[in-house]
Amino acid sequence: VAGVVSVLAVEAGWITAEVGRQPWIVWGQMMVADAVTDIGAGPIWASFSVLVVVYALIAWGFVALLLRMRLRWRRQDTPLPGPGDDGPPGPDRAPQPAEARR
Amino acid sequence: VTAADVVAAVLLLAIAAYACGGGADYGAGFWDLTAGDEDRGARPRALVDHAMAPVWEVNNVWLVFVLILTWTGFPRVFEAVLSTAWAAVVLGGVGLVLRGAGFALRKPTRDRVRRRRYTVIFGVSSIVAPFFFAAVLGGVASGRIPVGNRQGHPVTSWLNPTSVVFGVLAVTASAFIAAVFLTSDARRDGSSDLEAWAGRRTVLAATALAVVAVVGLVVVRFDARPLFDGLVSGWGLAFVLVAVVATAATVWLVRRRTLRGTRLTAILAVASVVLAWGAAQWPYLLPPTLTIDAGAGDPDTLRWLLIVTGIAVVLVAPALALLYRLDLGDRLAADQDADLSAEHATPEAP
Repeated sequence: VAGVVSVLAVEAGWITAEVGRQPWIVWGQMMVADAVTDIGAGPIWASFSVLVVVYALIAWGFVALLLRMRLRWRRQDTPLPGPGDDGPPGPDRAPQPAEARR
Repeated sequence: VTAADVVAAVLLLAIAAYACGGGADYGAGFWDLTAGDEDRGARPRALVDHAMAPVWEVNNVWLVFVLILTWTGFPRVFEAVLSTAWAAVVLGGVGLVLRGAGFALRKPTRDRVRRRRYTVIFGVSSIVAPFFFAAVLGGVASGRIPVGNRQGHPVTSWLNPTSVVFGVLAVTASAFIAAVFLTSDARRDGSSDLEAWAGRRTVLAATALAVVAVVGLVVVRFDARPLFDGLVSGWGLAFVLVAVVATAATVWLVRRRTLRGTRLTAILAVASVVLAWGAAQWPYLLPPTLTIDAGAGDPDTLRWLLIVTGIAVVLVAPALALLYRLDLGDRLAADQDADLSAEHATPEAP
């Protein structure tokens, strides 16, 4: 929960700062209306969607890889004897002693 | 010589450094993609992995530096280039992100199908990224990116004969410098078959580079006459000749199997191509109108920018020098392979 809430807190602070300084983009120097690009809304949506899709795919690949590595390490771990043994590092280290005791 | 001139020269040098460092990375991705099927390409890919992993994405430091120098030193150029040629910049950036992800995700993946998928992502985006970044420079060089907010054409500013020449040249030059580096890396690893593999690709890439350069000059002659005139006279011509001689010398040395010094001649060749372009359009930032002095930011900002650049060089240069030295001496890769073999002491698949 702390992880999720900390991200929420960072985002909320960011939004406060961004909304709070409207209508200035550089406080007292430049208005947002003067700074905005002349590129239309369509292309902005297009490039934004491309970025969202690309990062979503990478995130998906990354999480899937982590899950597979966890499985792989778990399979490698089981034959190792004794709880004092230094198994390979990985997210499955914590549950391992519990399994050994059982 | 004004402060703006110095900043412009530093900017050009930074682009040349990215063409060499980033180019070697991109080119390695190109050879990785074209290495053949899983069995035939296994050893070349291991060589690429071994050569790239320790310095992975470090070379993008140069790209960040180029961007910061441009928007701080020449804000009007930054505005003009990004608002007009944004599509090419986005495509190049997506390529950059995908190649990093493809390379990183392939390494711990064991499954053959997934490995092949990441190999294709890594390889294709290693071609896409340099092509589009260079295509933007081609738009600048051929005078298609006018001053102001989105004043140029959103497509033909980066999809035009000169931009295509720049893009293909960037991909070819990347393949060339990467092949030269991989030849030396293979020699260092003591595998003579891979040394021959990379040596053949050095000759191939140099030949392709020569063809692209000649065709490119003809295209530029008709598409961007001022750029052509700059390339065949004065400093532009001087750098073109240096590039030709350095490329020929590299090929000669590689074929003689005298690899000491080939990294330097390859760097000289690729950097000279960038410098030739810079000299050809000097003193214009955005030909045919915006000069370096007219496009420069506030003089105080420029002075501080140079001071900060000096500090950055002092701070970053030793770190980079140490990294490259350790990498060339194979001391990083050794550590990493030790980690890997410990981690995968009992792999479930061969």
